[in-house]
Amino acid sequence: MKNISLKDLLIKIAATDQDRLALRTPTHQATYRELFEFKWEGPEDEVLVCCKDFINLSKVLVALDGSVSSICVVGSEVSESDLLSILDQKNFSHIITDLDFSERSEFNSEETRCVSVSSLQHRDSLDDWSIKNTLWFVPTSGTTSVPKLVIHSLDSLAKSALKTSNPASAREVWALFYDVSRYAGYQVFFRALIGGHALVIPDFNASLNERISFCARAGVTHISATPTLWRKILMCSESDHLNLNQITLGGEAADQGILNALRRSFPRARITHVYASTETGVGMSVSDGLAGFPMAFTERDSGLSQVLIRGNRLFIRSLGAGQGYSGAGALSDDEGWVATGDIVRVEGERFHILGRESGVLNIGGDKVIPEYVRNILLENKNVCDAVIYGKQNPFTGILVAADIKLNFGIDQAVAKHEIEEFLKERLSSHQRPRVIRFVDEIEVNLTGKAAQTR
Amino acid sequence: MREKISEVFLEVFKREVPETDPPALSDDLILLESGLDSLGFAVLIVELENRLGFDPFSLANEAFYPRTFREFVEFYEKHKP
Repeated sequence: MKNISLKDLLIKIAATDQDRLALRTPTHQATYRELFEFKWEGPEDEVLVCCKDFINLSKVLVALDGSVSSICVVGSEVSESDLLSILDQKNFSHIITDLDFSERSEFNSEETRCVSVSSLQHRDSLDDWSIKNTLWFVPTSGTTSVPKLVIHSLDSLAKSALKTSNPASAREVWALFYDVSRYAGYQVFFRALIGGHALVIPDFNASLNERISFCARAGVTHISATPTLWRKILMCSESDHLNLNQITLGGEAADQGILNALRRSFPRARITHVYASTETGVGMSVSDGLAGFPMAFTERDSGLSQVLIRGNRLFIRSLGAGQGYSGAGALSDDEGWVATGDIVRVEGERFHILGRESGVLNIGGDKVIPEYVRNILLENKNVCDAVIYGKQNPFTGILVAADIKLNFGIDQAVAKHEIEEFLKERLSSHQRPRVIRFVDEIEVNLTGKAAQTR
Repeated sequence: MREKISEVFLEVFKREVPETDPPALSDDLILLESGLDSLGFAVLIVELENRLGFDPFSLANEAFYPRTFREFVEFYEKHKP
């Protein structure tokens, strides 16, 4: 599927029913026809998009794909450091935004032109398409403190949506619970729109119960979220009013507990857990209600992807994989296999994702590097040595824990308070060790590393 | 049990969200609206395990996600070893 743009795909849907609802937020909605409102008259350049209004963002993406050489979307709430790092990695010629330029001083640059969404040209006809192969730069979720940009095409980024979209299928109503600038968010966005379905976007600043209530009232049938968010959804009383056909879990390993709990609460829904990443694309998915993935996956070609376990390391070869990191080499080896960096444990006919080879912890979908946390901890005057690991718990899957050896003669109660205050100033909420244990000696295993999860 | 859980809840709350006043721990307090986020709950459960000597969430056969403070306390009472 080359040279087909997002506009081409959506125009087919609009052609059959142009008043079909495409997007719905708590305050606005847009039909498929309205998605074609804007036209990009600028040069075929590299464009960064940063919009707080989801309908604006969607219209801008429809206008840009096929008309510019590359698109990179960042969320309007992106941190200053992440934004600066992205701007540093690529020379964007334009930034399209619906924010006041003054709100983001990072946009001020001599090389980059800021364009307000309200100043974009309105499209008066639908037959002026250009068909450039636009690249999509998708930021990783920052396994390091610096997000990397993975290069995709619309074809790779929307691969599973393109493969599964069936215009004749029943109307589905999807809800967006991910940041759309991230890989998982794009999957929901494309699955909904390329499939001709409706996408409901709850207000991210509202409480989860209010967001769920809005989804229930909007008739949402499909929700994709991390296991951590699903646990919270089940804690919301409004989730009793959801009438779901499809539940998708991704971003971290789905344990048997959450799969069973979802089955009890939504007996009618198909429950699927997915293994995917910005680099590999969608690697595998299974809907049999059991944690882990069937070993049979390593012996088949799904048509979209193949799975390989070498030692205890997981490799994926997928049509949805990215082409490489911006400014760096390829992601895959000569045969197309991407080393995922995840390690697995085989148990009978099933394999389970245990965690990152690098020891990086997945805290409710956010990545935490134990070594980074440890180095911060070692800066504290009370701390002699420390080890950081993940501790299993039912609410976030894993919690960051620290075993600390204090310097000689330090009072534990005083040290605990001081260390907690010290970490609060230096680490974000998900990075901060929440379980602190004082030990006489730090235990290490044969490789010199502490066990990753306990 | 309820008293002990309330005590630890307020302690954890004070540590995790010091800028907010703790909620009144009534039976029908909605946990997700109490001000503690999921990390906060994870910490609460670890802290309760340290004090009570058990974690009902890992003892129970079925995963359970309590909605109100009463459901939370009852779950601890039910699974007390």
